[in-house]
Amino acid sequence: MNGLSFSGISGVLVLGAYAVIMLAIGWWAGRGTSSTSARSYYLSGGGLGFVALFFTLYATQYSGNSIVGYAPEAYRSGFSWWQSVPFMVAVIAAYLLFAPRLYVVAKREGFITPTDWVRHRFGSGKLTILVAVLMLWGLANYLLEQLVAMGQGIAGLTGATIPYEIGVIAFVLVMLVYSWSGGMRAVALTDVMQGIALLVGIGVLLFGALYLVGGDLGGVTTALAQTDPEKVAVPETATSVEWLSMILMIGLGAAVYPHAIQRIYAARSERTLKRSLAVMAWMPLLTTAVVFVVGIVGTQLFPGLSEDDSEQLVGMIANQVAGINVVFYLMMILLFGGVVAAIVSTADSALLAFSSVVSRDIYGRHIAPNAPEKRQVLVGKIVGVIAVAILLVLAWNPPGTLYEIFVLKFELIVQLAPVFMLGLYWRRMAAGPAFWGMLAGALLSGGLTVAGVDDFGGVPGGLVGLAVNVLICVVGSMMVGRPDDGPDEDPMVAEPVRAGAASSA
Amino acid sequence: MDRRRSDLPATPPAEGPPLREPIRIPWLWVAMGLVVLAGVPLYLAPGVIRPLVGGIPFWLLISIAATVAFSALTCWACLRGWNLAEPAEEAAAAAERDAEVRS
Repeated sequence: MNGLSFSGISGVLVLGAYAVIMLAIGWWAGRGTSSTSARSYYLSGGGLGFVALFFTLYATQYSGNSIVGYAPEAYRSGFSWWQSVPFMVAVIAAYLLFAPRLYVVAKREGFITPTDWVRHRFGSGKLTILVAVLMLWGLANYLLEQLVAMGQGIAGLTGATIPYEIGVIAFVLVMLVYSWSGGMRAVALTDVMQGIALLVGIGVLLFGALYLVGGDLGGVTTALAQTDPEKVAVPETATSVEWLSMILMIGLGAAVYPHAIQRIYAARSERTLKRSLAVMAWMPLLTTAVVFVVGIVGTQLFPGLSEDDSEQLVGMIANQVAGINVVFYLMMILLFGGVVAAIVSTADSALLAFSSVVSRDIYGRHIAPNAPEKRQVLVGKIVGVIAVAILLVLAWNPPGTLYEIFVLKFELIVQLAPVFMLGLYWRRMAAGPAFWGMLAGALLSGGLTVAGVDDFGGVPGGLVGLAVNVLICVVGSMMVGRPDDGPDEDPMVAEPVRAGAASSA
Repeated sequence: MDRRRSDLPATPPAEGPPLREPIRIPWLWVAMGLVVLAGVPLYLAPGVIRPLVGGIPFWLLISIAATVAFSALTCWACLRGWNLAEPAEEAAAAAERDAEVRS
């Protein structure tokens, strides 16, 4: 994205302003946060209200990749990329499979990390360790993706006035400072600013792109039907199967991401949580659908781009829009500031979840069980900083296209779905089969990825792994489980019936 | 799944709407499955473009309509199909407010 007409010192100034605002919000938010209490630091004391909860759900679920990665995908795939809208709705629908009941249990039991549920339900055995390892792996991958996108976004905005590496380090430091001092409260309140910046950015990008084609969207699609009919036509069966598979895999996978689950715990009340999710159900139509339209408009503005060149599509469109007049120029600066803010907001949530799993599930459980809570939180913070440093080294050589990295992390995270979505309702589900199912699913998915087998006729390896996972879990539990192995978590029963003995793996 | 308790009627609170949990609303999940399937053009012949409606292929309009229905169902389930802790939380909050007023 070099040579942008709005690049250079104005880009540096807007990024500097964003950084200062984030630090100021983080400092302000951090005043009421206690680093001596894990619940206060990681969940904001379970007191997030509607505005903070909605925007932290939004800014966490939609990263900068949702713009800079998805628009090129629409450009390359054509109308079949509409799938990005229903698969983001599916994330909220998947929440409904477990969040209502998990919220009740989490408030009652005082959960802090997602693994707390697994420990409560299945005991402290090897299943909880496997869950923690998969979560850390998925979060590290997710964080790496954000660091890569952060560098590209910053270098793109400033026309490489700020080099890739310097840009990443600067914003990582900003993120670490406010996350360190304010925990979840700082992350959620900066998400309000970052979410608004993302929404405004997407809005102005759509407006600018439509302005460039004279507002004639029908004309764009008609022209595309003549030049690239395969992008407009009903897709091949394998593509449609992949479409359906992505709805399942991203819906189930994104909903059980550790930072997603921690937002269920952090809600002030059920009323706050369900209202936030109700609005979130419409956000794909205001976010990924708009980015889809921008990508399609791009096919007429910049026809014939190679796959690598198409990755710069948003920068190219922004460049043209910025050249219209000074108002569009300023709006495009806001757009790229919004993209970077969105990337940071996703990264900080993943980092906080990573720190909490290290602090509570690894250090506090297995390394120093008697350590005071303050030290556990401190260890989580320090390991988080070390992990970011290691990931930064990996980020210097970013792999392939952004979308490919995005899909890879779901292959493993989606294997966590059964322990939440079955474990909450099926008391017979046993820890042993859950462990072996999850391990088999993760190894199969990871093995297929390493072997270069992306899918089977459109069905991704992660979903095949999930099917094996569920099969082992269900058949195994039918064989070795007892009807009352797990606690009865039915919230419609006044007093939950405790399990006689929750088995451990 | 263990359906023994799931089949019990919701315990009615003293006042307000009954307790509800989205997972216990079978028609909701059937409807969600149908709108998801309706939105994926598996049932159409690959390669078909026409008819165009306002320049947009009909099959994409079907997918868009199905996605809107998917969002609407999900939103409805959040607001109307989910009511587990809210009555108790609201009652506790009201009691707390009353106590503050009295003190």
